[in-house]
Amino acid sequence: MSDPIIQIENLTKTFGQDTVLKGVTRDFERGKIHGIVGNNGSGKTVMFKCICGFLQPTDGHVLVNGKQIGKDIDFPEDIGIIIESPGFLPQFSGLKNLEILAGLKRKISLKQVAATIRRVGLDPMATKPVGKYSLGMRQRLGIAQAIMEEPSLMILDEPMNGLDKYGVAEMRQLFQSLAKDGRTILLASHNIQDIETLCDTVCEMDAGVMTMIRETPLKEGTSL
Amino acid sequence: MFKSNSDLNRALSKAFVLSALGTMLCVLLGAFSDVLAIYMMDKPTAALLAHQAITLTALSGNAILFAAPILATIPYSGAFVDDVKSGYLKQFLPRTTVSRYILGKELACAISGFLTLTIGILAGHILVSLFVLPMETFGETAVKSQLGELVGKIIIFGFSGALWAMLGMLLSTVTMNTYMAYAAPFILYYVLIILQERYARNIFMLNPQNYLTLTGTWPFGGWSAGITMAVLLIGAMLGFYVIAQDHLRDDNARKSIRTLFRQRSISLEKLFHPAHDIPVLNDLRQVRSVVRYNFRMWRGNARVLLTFALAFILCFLLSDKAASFAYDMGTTMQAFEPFAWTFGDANSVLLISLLLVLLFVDMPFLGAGVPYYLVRMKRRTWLTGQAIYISLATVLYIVFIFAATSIICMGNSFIGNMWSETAAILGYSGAGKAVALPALVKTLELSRPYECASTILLLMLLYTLVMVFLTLYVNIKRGKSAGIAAAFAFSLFGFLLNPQLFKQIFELPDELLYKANVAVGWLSPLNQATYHMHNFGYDLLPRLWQTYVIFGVAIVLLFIFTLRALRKYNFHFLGGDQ
Repeated sequence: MSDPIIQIENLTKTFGQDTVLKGVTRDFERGKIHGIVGNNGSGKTVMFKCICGFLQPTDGHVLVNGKQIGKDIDFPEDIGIIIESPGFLPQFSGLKNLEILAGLKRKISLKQVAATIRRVGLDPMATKPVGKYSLGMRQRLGIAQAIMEEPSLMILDEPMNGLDKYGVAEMRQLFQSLAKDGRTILLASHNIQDIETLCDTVCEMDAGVMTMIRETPLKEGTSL
Repeated sequence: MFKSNSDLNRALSKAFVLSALGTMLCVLLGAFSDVLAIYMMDKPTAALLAHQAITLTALSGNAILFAAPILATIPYSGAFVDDVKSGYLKQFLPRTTVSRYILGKELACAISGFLTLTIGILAGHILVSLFVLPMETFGETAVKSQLGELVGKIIIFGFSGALWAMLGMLLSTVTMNTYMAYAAPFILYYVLIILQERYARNIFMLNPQNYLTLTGTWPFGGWSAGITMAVLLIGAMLGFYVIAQDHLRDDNARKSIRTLFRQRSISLEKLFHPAHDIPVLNDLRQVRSVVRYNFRMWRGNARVLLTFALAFILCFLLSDKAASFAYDMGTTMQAFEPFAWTFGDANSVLLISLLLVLLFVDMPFLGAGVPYYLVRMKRRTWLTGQAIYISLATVLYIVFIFAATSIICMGNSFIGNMWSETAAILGYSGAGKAVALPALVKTLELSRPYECASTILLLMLLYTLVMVFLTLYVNIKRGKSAGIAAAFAFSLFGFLLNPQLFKQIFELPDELLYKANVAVGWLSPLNQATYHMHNFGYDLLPRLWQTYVIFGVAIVLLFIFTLRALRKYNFHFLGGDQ
């Protein structure tokens, strides 16, 4: 592989007696959408959390952009994430919530925050507090916070949760356009159609073991 | 029929049985000393109908008066909010009408509150009778039956239960929070007691306990209390009816009113100041963001509200000794004296610091929104923000305690920086020792109220900070449960390490008890936090500055240990909004 953005080496994670990740080794190439499929409890989210630096590996290591997570850096430096259900401050509007998050790095202006909210199909000027959002609106806002600073790497765990079919189609287009711009996306989904239409490579996670299903984009008319 | 049958089935479930058992236990606790006195006699005997008198006495006891507003709310007061939040309402409402649904809820709630207390008291009375009746003997004088009075009291307790249960349902609906169903009536109950006892002693009807004990000049005895409570109950039911109907029928109307107030023009022209070139300044800004983020979670947070409300009630209960002493003596107090006499005592410091665990029970605050800001900073920046947040929250809490204690007793105090006559009586006559108030001669002679109160405030703050930082460290190192256990263990260590225990362990003779005092003064963190357990120039106890240094070093060390432990920490986020 010419230019891996993520290098996972013998990644093992154990909780008590339960080994959730069993020596996962895989490189993910830059500028592609990588799909990960697997049943509930197969270890997808745990692997994502290890890449993000939220969980410390029991064994092995993860390198993002050549820097080891937990040793060289605490968390990947240029990353956008959706992990589990998106959580926000319920009393504030979507714009205010994202403004607070954008204020941490100060890489973008409030106008750019608003543009991102518009890009995911929400109204940035709406005063409705996030606590009153539907599941789909909340998910869209979660996607907006992940992409607003235009990170080079995006880790998206079930990003289509709660979206209707139009929302799913819009988000697919959005992810494809992000990949065209050179961003790398790691996408976990239960929906096989998301994986088929979106991903350049597909891995399967089963009981903590990762296997490659395909390494090249699907040709028209074929399926997994 | 209203849908009250299914509501009643839900209301009179396991929680109802447990609450009734709790009520019975309170009656038995109140009767315990009287029953024990009978059985301790050489030849156990009791006057005829003594069982009635004993139950009546138990109904004026602290246990039942304290627990009644909580016990009555447990079976069904949170039902409406539970229905709304769980979505059960959507299944239920199409099978009835809004009015019937609300009336069903009201009836079930009031009946469950009524029956919780009446059945519990009856069960308690039956048990008391079983113990006492066999011992009763005919005396020479005629004994008047108190059965009518007892039945009247039980009915009054029933009405009180219905009222508090209904108020719980009303207040939980207003705040849309289940916890408020149980906590708000209890808080309101004590706020009313505080108002009456400290500010309006003549308005006896303000005090809810007076309805149960029939204290005061009720024109028609128990009837007046019962009728007043029935009227208040109807008022609470009407209030709930209006608010619940508003919620079910026209929720959008309320929302639109709220948004009217919230409407603000939004300008997108705002530019963030670009990141600083100096990384430390960026880190400091991020630390500030973490602190602000945590404080933002206080808004509408029932647990935070509950912690401060309970702290207020605890201040009232703890300062009662000092305030009652001044009231009985007919003397005034300096404004900060109630704080100094209350929190100059180690047990008070222990209780008030333990209540803070409730505020920090979800430490290290890993809500579902945290990963989003965590990936935008470093671990140590996040932890520094958490440390500053818990320090500021602790400062707020301790200052609140100080203000609350002073305000509660303000009706009978002056502001000047001199000890009051009450203090003089407490200190010089030995009365302070008799009523267990730490108004010591050395305190009166070597300090003034402002200086004394601010020193106690600082000692409490440092002690509480050590406890909180210890909780944070153990939480990061060993997990949440271990963190809370550490807070309790720390408190227990201070509580158990007293001079008597020390004397026993080292088999010290009585004349060497002072050595145990000095050792405990140094070794127990709780004694380090106690003002009068310090050296004022003539013993070997720690000096105040030494305590400040010890606590300060402990806090810094615990923070450093936490930073080290954080390297291996696994973040487990909670689901949903903050």
